[in-house]
Amino acid sequence: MLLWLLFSVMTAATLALILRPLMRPSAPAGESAGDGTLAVYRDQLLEIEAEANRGVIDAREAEATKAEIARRLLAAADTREPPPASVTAPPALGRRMALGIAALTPIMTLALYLAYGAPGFPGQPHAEHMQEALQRDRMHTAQVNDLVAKVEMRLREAPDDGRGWEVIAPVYFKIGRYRDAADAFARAGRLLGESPARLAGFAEATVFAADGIVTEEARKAYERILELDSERIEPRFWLALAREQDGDLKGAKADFEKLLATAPADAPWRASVEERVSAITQRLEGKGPTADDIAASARLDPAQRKAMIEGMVDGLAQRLKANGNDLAGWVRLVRAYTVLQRGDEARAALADARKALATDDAAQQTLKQLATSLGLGS
Amino acid sequence: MTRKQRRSVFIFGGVAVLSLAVFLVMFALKDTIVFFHTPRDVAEKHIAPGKRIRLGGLVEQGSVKRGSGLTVEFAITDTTRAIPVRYTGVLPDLFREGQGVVAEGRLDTAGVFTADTILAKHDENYMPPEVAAALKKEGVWQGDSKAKSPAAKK
Amino acid sequence: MITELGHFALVLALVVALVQTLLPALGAHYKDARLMAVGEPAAVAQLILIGLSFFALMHAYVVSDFSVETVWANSHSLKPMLYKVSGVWGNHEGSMLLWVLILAAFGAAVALFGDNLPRGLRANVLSVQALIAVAFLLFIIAASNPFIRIPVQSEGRGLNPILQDPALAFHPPFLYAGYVGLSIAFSFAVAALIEGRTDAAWARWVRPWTLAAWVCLTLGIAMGSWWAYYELGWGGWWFWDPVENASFMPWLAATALLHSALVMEKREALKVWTILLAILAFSLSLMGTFLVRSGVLTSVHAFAVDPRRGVFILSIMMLLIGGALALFAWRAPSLKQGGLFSPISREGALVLNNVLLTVSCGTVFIGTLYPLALDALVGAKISVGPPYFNATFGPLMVPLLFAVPIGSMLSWKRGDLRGVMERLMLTGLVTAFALAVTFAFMHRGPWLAPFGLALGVWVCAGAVSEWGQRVKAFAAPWDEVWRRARGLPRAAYGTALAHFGIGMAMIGIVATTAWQSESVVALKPGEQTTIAGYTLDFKGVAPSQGPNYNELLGLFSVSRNGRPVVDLTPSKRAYVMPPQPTTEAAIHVALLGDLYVVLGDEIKDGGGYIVRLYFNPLVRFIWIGALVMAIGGVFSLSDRRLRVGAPRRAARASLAAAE
Repeated sequence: MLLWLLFSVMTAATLALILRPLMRPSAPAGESAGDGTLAVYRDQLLEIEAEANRGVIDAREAEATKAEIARRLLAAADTREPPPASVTAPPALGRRMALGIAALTPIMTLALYLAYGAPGFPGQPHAEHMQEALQRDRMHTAQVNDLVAKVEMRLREAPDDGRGWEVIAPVYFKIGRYRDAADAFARAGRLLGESPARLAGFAEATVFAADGIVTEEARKAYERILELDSERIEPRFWLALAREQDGDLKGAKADFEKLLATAPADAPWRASVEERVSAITQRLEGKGPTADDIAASARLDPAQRKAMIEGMVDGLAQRLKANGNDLAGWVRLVRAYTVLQRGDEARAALADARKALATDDAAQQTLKQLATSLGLGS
Repeated sequence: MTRKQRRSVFIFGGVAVLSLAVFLVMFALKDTIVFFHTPRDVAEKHIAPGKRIRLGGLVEQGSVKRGSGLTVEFAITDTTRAIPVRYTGVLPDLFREGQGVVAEGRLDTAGVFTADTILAKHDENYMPPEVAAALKKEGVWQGDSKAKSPAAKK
Repeated sequence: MITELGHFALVLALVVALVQTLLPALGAHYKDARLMAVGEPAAVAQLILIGLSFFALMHAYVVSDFSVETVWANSHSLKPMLYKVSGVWGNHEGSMLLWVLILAAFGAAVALFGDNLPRGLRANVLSVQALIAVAFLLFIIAASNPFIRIPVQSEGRGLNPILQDPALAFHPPFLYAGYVGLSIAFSFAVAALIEGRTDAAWARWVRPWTLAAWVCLTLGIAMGSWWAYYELGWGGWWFWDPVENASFMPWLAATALLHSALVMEKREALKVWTILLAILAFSLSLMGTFLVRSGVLTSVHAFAVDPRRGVFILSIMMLLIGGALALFAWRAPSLKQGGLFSPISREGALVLNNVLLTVSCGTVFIGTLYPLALDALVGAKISVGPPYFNATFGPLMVPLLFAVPIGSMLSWKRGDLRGVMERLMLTGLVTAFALAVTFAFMHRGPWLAPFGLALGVWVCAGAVSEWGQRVKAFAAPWDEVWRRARGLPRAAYGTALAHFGIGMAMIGIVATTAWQSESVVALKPGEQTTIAGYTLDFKGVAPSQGPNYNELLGLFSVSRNGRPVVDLTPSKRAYVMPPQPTTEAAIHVALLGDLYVVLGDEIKDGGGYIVRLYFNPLVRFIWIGALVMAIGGVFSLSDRRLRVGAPRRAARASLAAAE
């Protein structure tokens, strides 16, 4: 509404400005068309005199020039036109013309503007846009929490409702309540019968609840899944990870490699398995964090853990700065920065990676995909 | 000097300058123009060695060889034929394998093109126009889909 | 909302321009003062509206509103503020908006400061000016609208890194001010043809506008050349690139126009020619816009490529230029010719200046358009490069520059060549001395080069000597000289400075072209190389980080005769958004010449880096010369005699007193 008001004000002000001369009963009597010309010649005469006085030109030359200009001055004065009649058309014509223009202008402007403009389109400054996205996220969370509360109330009344547990379990997982998610998956499994999907949900939630450690419970669940359905991939990954976390690096590496060998070339999870393999390889060479470090990380409180993770990330960044020929390392670094919400550094790392691996086309491709998937631009 | 004489002085002067200019232009155009060719043209039109030309196409994948010194060897291809190019100096920022490039220089009798100037595209979305036209004819280059706006994508 | 307000203002400006095209012209035709009077407020309203629109777009860039397509396509939230602002005109749509903004500003200036113009002339000028605005506003709204909205994007695509540069941020505004300023001369010419009369007063009104446009064009071209010099990393300062030529041709025409308008003002001669030049100068500006904006050529400025737009601009060009030339053919024969003069006179010299400038402009025109024509007609692809221009443009400049000191000393009407030659004795001696010294110290380079250098010295010394003789330096007591120096009109200083500047530029051009040293070497850290007496120690490379790029710095210490001079750090940059590498040359500026170092690629297997070095003697003279020329233009512009209205009352009073 405000926008349209401003449009009208702008149009009205413009019309008032440009049509004023037409609305006047008569224009001020104009000076003669020749006045300016005469002024120029008079000016030239003065100039010649000044120059002659300064001695820039000699007297003879000055006289000749002055005579010539004077001749022109007289000629111009002779042909001097009478001032234009102040108004040749009756005042009514001017007013009618003004009215016509006043009527046509808004119509034409509006027609053209509506053809190209987007009046309903709000401005979206970058900062505001980001703010809004955040806001939307928060509102979404609030809504979900509301929903969760309702379902929880119902489940408190009817704790044997297996379907209810099954519905709420993945929601818990999504909003980060992993322990509740594991519990819900377990209950759903007990009430509705064991299934690979429920077991997998339980196991994954358990792992997440334990901050990435594949606990004994989770390990058992994964083993059970494999008994039910030996084709499934993710249990094999987690079990291999469990071995890695137990310190059986060689065994874990072998498991991961087996997994890779059976993986289709375009499997989306390939990259993370490869990442593990290279990480283990490095640890075998004595570089990465030891099992003790990871175990220590699990025991730390969140702030400390964050500090430790950041320490690790910075260590990785240092190492890559020294030796940039490590695609997996770069991928890990960019991911880590993104997770830590250090977007600028993620972008910088990405650029560094591109530079370090400039000659490696396959690596460039991977980095490009990584950038797209993390929303860092292409 | 009469009015007529004055006028003829001006006319004569004007014509003299103009004809000097025409002479210079003709002379210069004859000697300094450089024709643009693709590798295919070079093979089919039998461009004489030693004639200064511009050679345009894509830098062939895997063909860039940097010696220990300043000389770089690579091949320019229009995907049907490739011509080896030798260049000494600093390559432009956007010189890449598989990207469009224009080289200016001369062919030697062995069929190697010795370039003294290398022009690469100036930004990501730009292909030298002659190269784009030549490659379109070969059906290689489809235009740049990246340049579309997101509105068009949705 | 601000964006939409800007869009609406732009459309409203188009309608206002339409009114401004029709009413004042009708008024002038029917001698209706009220209709004519609409022109002035309309011109002001147009400026305000387009200004609003421009600032709305700038606002969108500053706050990174990625719901505006041009902002999304050309900006990035992380870009430094300077480039967010300059990004407004760093692309096609925004630059066209800047173009009409400047057009409107010139129109409004005529409306506000043109009180002393005859009403009919002013009404017609404003009308023609508005017609140009209508054409370009239509083009912007229909074919390159900067306010098109898209679903909001989270991040923009960024500005081409080679355009992220302070010189280039201000190069387009100056260039456009120059291009568009010539529209005033064009409008005046067309108005004069419509009215069927021109006189000295007309020339005097046109001259300041042309001069202002010329100053802007000079600065714009110099800035573009300076940018190309240090940003493109080739050590060259002028490439005869079609886009450079597109700005150079209007400059040549404007220079000719300045000189012919002088003849018209003083002597009422060359009327028809001056009108034609005014039309041609702006036509060349339009052609420059067309060449750059249509995508018919691709060069450094290839960031705007869209053939549909080309057709649109081509139609505008044909309408404006064709219309003006048809009017010229119809009305020009009826213009009365003025004063007579002998071939050897100031007028004669200025005619020579005009002939040479327009003919050289013609050779540039042919060299620029011949490849396009050949491509369009025969399909053959050729390139016309610097050798062509050096062989045609160069020889034409020699007589022109040679004539500068002589011409500016000749008197009007009938000149005394022998007398002038006597007065130029000292200048000749200085020139001969410069020639001898250059030959003595030159040990390489073309044998013609010292003559070129001497020609530059001749022009410079001629400018100084003319000034010296006008103030009677060394010939009169010092207080007399001082009195004369103060009394000399500013326009005289302007002329002297502009001529001195062109001489300086000539010296710089000849020296750089003839005696540039270039060397390309492979250097490993710890090695050193020499060029033009400098020794460069390559210390190695180091990574570094800028606001939106990462770079690899090459570390060089420069010394001369064992004494350290400076540390230079050329770099290779990798911009983050859009991802693109650039080369940043490092330049050591000294009075005698620039040391210019470029870091090239790394050679495989520890072979070090390719490093390119240039020594460009006196290269600074080129840009300093251009700057001096522009300062000269500003001096002339500030001369009260060019501001016709201002002294009128005083003039009347003194005339009355004299009677």
